[in-house]
Amino acid sequence: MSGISRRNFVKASAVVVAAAGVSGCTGSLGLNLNKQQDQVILPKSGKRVVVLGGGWGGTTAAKYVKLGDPSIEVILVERLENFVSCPASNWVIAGFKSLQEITFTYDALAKNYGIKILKTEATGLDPAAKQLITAAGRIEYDKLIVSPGVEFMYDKIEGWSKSAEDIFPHAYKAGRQTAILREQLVNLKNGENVIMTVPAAPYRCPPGPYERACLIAFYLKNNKKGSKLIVLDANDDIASKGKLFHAAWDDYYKDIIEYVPETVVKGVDVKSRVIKTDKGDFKGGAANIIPNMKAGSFAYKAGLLPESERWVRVNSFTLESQALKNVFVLGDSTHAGTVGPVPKSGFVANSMGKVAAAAVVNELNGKEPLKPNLVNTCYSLVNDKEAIFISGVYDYDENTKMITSRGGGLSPERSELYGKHAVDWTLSIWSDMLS
Amino acid sequence: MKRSAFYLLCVFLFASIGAWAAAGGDTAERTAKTCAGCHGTYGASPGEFIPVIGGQHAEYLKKVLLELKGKKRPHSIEMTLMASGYTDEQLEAISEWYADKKWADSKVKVNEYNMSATVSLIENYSCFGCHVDNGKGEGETPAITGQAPGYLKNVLMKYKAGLIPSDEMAFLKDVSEVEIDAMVSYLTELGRNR
Repeated sequence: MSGISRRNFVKASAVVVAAAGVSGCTGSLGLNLNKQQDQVILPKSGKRVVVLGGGWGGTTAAKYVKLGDPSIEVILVERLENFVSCPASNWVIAGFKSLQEITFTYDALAKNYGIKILKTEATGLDPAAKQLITAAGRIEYDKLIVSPGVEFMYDKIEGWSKSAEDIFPHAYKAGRQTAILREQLVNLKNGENVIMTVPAAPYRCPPGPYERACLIAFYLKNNKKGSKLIVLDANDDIASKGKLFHAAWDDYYKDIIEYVPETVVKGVDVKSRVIKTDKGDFKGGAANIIPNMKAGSFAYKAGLLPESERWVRVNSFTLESQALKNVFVLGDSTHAGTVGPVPKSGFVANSMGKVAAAAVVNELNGKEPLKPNLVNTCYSLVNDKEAIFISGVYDYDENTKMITSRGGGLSPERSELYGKHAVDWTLSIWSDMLS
Repeated sequence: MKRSAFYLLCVFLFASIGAWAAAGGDTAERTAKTCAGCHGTYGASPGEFIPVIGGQHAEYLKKVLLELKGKKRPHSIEMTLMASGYTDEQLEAISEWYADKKWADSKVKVNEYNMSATVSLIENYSCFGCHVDNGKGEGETPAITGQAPGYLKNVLMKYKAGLIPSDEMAFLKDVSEVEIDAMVSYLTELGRNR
């Protein structure tokens, strides 16, 4: 195993709070909270970049700002204690890895690069004053990089309540939800079916649901006699790597996976655990509803997009928000119509982090930003050994003023070597973000 | 006299800007960083099967990337697809950028092997005759000590099978997989122990 999983293995992150110099705790009274929110904490002395969101885009951006110019102060604001990797979380659902093996602290970013980690929740933005408003107080910035991820849209599912999320886990933000789905599978009785729903594109990680389908089917095939996986897909066919996934389903899971395309979730009955769709009602011993998605809630609170829209509009050259100057937006929450035809993947968020980091470092040093360049390679395991992949190289096109595809493609078939590369890829990209 | 001093100063300045700057400067800076998503920051790959590229020789990286792009080197489907997305100039600039970084020896655990027998094998095949300086290599001959072992084995097996054409590596036809395994373990360990 990599050094990172040993070194950064989950532990009390006293170091993180110490590095920030402030407590991440907020007052338990609303009054205290408001008072705290109004005060500027960690007053700024030199050039400062604040990064909101310690996911794939945010961690990369924070690290690469420091690599680009160590004299810039970097504060990474994240409300959660640990980084839990979404890519590879399907491997936890199938039982190939433990949740701990895909969970890391932010300690190395603080230790190796002097990035200040502030564990608190961002509640709003004061763009005129260039201050990020958090539960711990206001934080001044010269440039703000926002990587808010996605928010789930449950409002169109009739009968939904907050508790429904534990009955029909999305398991699409890794962590507790991943563990719930894993537990449902383990507790499944032989012969009981698993239901999984796929949202209409665009959504985070296009191949993600289909890799999950392969791995749940793999688990059922080996552990739950007579159980099937019913995949209810809002799309008219598999949304990514279609030919390769269909081949794996045909060769390995013909009797396990029942694929029902063009099926939209309309409602749920939490008590009877029924999922209602336009193709009828479905019930299983385990049920994974992956809902439609939109930009993370902070993007709305900050005024980066109106309630009527789902994705944040950015300038494709620098990823600066079209609505707010000095605010850069990364990753899944960006509007592909304003960036270019790039997938909402962890790898793209990692590339975007480097683009935004280069842009803010250059701007803070009075230089022109560099043209953006993005890369994506996404592996999907189809069983415990073999993987398929898609890769893409994207560059800025001077004519269309958009990021455009320059090359790449699909793996010609599945192979065990790609499976080994899939595991290696996680080690490399985790180290590129977190250590 | 003054003129020649100025000339010397210019030569010195150009030389010190570094080879990657001459080969594209900001172009390499913006395109090369994305490779780290698979190869690790500055090419220090932590895994077993994806190679270390930081500190590898520029001439070798260029040769391989251009051959991959031209579909003349069937050693990696991923890299054939990736290379298709760059111009030759970009691939050359990326090669210079990574060559300029520090080599990071693989820390991956290796299989057990018989040390003295393996040293004899390496001497018999005269590996370090071409990969000079105990496997650091030079020019188009790559650094092999401290490389990721899974990658090294995969490539050597492809040379053995004749899938990558090379006169220099043709001897592997007659080398067994067990011997290749041992040489790979030795070469990887030699890096971290030097």
